[in-house]
Amino acid sequence: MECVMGRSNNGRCVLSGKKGLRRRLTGAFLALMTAFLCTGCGEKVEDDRTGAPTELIWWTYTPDGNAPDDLEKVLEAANRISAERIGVTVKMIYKTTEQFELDQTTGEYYDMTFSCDWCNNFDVNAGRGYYYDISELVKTEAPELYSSVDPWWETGTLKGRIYGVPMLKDLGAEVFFRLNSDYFETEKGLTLPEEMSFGELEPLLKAWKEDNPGDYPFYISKGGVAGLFQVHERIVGNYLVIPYSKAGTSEGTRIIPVFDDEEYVGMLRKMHEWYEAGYINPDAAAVEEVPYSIKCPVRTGTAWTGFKGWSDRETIGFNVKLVRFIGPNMSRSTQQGSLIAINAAASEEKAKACLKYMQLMYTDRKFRDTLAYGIEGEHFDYYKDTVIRTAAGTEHYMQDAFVTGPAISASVVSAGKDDTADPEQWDKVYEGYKNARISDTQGFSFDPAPVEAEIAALDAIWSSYASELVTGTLDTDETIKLMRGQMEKAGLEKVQEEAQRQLDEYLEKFR
Amino acid sequence: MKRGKKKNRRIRGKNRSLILLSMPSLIWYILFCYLPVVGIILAFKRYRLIPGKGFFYSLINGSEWVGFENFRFLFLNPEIGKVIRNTLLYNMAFLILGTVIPVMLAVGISYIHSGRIRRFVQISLLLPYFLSWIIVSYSVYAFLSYDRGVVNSVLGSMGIQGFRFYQSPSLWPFILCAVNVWKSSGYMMMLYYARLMAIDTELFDAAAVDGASNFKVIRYIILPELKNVILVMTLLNLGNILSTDFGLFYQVTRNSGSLLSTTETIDVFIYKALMEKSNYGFSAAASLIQNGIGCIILVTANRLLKKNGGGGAAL
Repeated sequence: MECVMGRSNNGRCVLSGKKGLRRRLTGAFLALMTAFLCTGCGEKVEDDRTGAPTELIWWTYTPDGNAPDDLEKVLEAANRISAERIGVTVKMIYKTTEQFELDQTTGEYYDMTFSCDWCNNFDVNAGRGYYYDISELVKTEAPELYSSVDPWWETGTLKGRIYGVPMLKDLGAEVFFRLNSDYFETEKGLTLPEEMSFGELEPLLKAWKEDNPGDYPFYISKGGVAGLFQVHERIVGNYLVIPYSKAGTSEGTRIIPVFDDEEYVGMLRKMHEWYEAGYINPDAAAVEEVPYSIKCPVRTGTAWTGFKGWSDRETIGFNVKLVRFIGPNMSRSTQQGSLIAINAAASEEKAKACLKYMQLMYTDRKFRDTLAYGIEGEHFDYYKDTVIRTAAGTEHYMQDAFVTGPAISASVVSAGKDDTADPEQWDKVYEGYKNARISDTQGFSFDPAPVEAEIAALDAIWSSYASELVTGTLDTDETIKLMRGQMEKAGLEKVQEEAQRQLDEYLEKFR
Repeated sequence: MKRGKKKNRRIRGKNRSLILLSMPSLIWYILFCYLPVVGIILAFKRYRLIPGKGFFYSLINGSEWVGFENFRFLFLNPEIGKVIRNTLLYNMAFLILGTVIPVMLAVGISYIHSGRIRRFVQISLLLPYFLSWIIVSYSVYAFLSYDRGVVNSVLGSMGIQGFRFYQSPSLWPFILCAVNVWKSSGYMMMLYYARLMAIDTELFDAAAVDGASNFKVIRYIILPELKNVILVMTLLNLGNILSTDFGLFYQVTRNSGSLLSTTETIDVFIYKALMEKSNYGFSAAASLIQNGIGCIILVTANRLLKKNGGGGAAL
């Protein structure tokens, strides 16, 4: 700060002096420049005063740029607990994907940050050295944290060093249809199974369409069917993949263009058939989102077995049943759904405080529930060892559990008193992962640096046609032919070879 | 001697107040136009942050030089020729339409005698200028949506099969031109109208005495008086010949893939290539090309104008 003041004084003095205009302007220019440089690097962390709790700056994720309304109130309650237990408080700052990118790049200061596979990319940032190496520190400073996360540390490890603490939640991808059970089961007398294939949805769509010819049973937005891609592990962008269907075979480590994943393309062809049949809304490729005001009988999403989060009858308007059609499939990217990493620029004291804080998240359920669901009695109530949100909670303190820490150490959420969740839900989910199709890539992550230009060109082509491909708007095979042709000209094969080379090299060490 | 000194001081005082007067915009230009120019080096570096250091420090000390590597992604797009063609053709069309229509409107409005009607027309023409592209995008969508759009329901009531507008690329050059004219011509019209109002009324009186027709008044008085404004505006627009309004080409088309052959412009391509990355080197390279070429064209055109009599040369 001091140097900024000094310079601007100087600037004023030069302006009122009798030197030439050019010199005055140069002075002003320099002053401004220095001011810029200083604000850029001037954000030093203040040393803690003795006795006062250490305050940590914690960046976390928000999809829409807003923090929950009641954040301040809730954080005050959470800070009271953490200050008393470990002498640490936090200041949470909510950021969108774009804000994370920008603030990481400009070197804004934080102590710990949300990081994952699809936002504030963990592998990329850890690879660049942005995150604190906690390999030893976590064992000595937070042994309980270490044992709570065990055996999943590989998720936060890059090149043999630990850079992030996994915030454990669902680790495998399971994709569900959320079906209107009032209509399909009560009215039509069908029985919805726990699990079905994608194609088995067709008779349900047909039945609805016959009863409501003017409506679209499968109302989707330009992103297509949420989670449909979870049949393969994405290696580069959305277009170089390894299908889970090949896991365990000789092709389990062969990277292919997404167009060659028969399971996926088969589902896209079905989508086009359904589009032509009028099951899918004709403007799907141009629609940004499907609001709850559209009462469509079929929605999809990624969740986990036993999840009750989309089942609130009052919000949706009818009773629903979740039917799984993909998964569980597991790879590094599905496991990296949520981590907390510590800033490489943080002092050792701050890093220790961060680890202590995360340890508290994992070991103190009351504290964890406060962060996740708000204040007991105001935002939520306990019922049969689960949490039921109040109206105030739904309205003013609603966010995904992973935003505020590990999901498995928080109480599970019930849809209502007559629709309670299984408090032991997570044990069962993790038990289910024993049957998961697990990728053979052993936690490989692709380093895009050598082919960045090609990837930018490929991303542009992909994003040009993706919405019409994944919504079934255009003929699947023709669109794929077009995309493949353009992408090959832009260097798809070069990127594929580079990725394969990196993967083979990485896998050497496991042989 | 004494008098001379006094005069000198007065001029200096006048200069000082002028300098003070221009200070706010001068500072604005330095902050937002000249200072960021240093960032051009970003286009030739692979930017890496040094944890705990600021942006400039990391840029200068921590990032390696990569030459023209950052420019390469632009030319990897197999459709780049089409993209550049679209950008240039749209800009030409906008340049012509964006001059002819506002001038016609300004002249037309100046012939409306009732002050009340004139103000009403002016304001209703100006209003679209203040709408954001997102709102325009949804309004256009309300007209053109396949199953719920106004156009298709009108066609449907007449027994005509509806169009899939967002899958019909050949219609979009017209739609985009129409939307752009609708949105921007009110604003341009105000500029020309203001200049029109400043024409000496004696000229019109003289024309009336000589019995000149409206057409002749427009041809021999109004257009020559507007010529310089038109030239300056055209010149300024030439500087942006490789840039397009992202909102128009990305939001209004709803990024529909089928339309790309006729709607994708350089800005749209850059956005799609870089939106999921924080690759500021690539973005800097792309805008350096766009603005560099724009700047060269602008300066050349200005020079040509100056050579041919100088009217309208802005620099």
